[in-house]
Amino acid sequence: MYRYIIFFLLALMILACSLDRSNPLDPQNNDIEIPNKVVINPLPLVSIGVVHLTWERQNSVAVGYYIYRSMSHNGLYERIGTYIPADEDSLGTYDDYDEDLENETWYYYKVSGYNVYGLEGYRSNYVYTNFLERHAE
Amino acid sequence: MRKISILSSLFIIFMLTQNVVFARDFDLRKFSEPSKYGWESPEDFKAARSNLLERQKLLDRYENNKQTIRKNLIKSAIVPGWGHFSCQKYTKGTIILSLELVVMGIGIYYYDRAMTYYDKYKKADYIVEINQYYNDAKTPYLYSQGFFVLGMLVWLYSMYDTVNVTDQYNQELWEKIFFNYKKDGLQVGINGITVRF
Repeated sequence: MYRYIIFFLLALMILACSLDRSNPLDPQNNDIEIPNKVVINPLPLVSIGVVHLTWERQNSVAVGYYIYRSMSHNGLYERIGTYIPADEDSLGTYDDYDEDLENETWYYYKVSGYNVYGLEGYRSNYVYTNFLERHAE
Repeated sequence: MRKISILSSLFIIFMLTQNVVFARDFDLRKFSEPSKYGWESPEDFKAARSNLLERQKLLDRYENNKQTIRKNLIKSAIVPGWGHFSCQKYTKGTIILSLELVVMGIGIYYYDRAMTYYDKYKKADYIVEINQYYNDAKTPYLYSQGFFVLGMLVWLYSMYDTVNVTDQYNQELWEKIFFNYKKDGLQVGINGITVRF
């Protein structure tokens, strides 16, 4: 009798030990393809008052891209914009015109793609640049 | 029809005759022989009757104060250890109740932690966060399940032990009643009650 009780409890524990992967965007439970990791151009072009980011649009399921910025490479990256490409674009581009950017300060950028369901893929490696302030003319 | 009535009449006569024969065999004197019960005189009979009444009183007292297993099982099912408290096993009851509270408390803590991460997992739309939150939720969820099973084992043990403790309580109650009775100069034995002067 005790053996049955112990067996029952162990079975209950094993069955109960799994959490459902109930997120509709979870690729492990749904037939959703993850957008490829973006390969960003390691040398952003910096003009006065603007940072130009470019990355290659690989054969990916990404329908859009998120652009992130941080003040340290391992700090919190804040989403600063979205880029929705036209079909003919082979390169993804983003220009950071933010007026709050400070002169002679290092900024770090990452880019990631998202698919038609809204699932965001892995973010790119960071690229960084020194911002040059636009001076009043 | 006539045959049937004759046969039934014969059967009734046969049965009545049999009763008379058996009644003859039945020894009324032997049945009502007082010496068979150890009663040599009317005083012995009175003493035996008095003893019987005293014994009845003891049983009544026992019946009124004893704990029922069913009642204590229900108590222990609602609050583990309650059945032990009813049987005056306060230390054991406290240990069981504390253990149950601690184990279930830890289980609830881990479950709550797991659910916090699981809620984040359900809302996440970034692949890294989806995997990260799911993994973060899995470990505390496993711990919570372990503690809940442990809590269930403590609960089952509490129920099982309630039966033993109630039996023990009733045994001790009977012994106490019996001891008090003996202290008053009366002795209850298998063969009846003996009064010592």
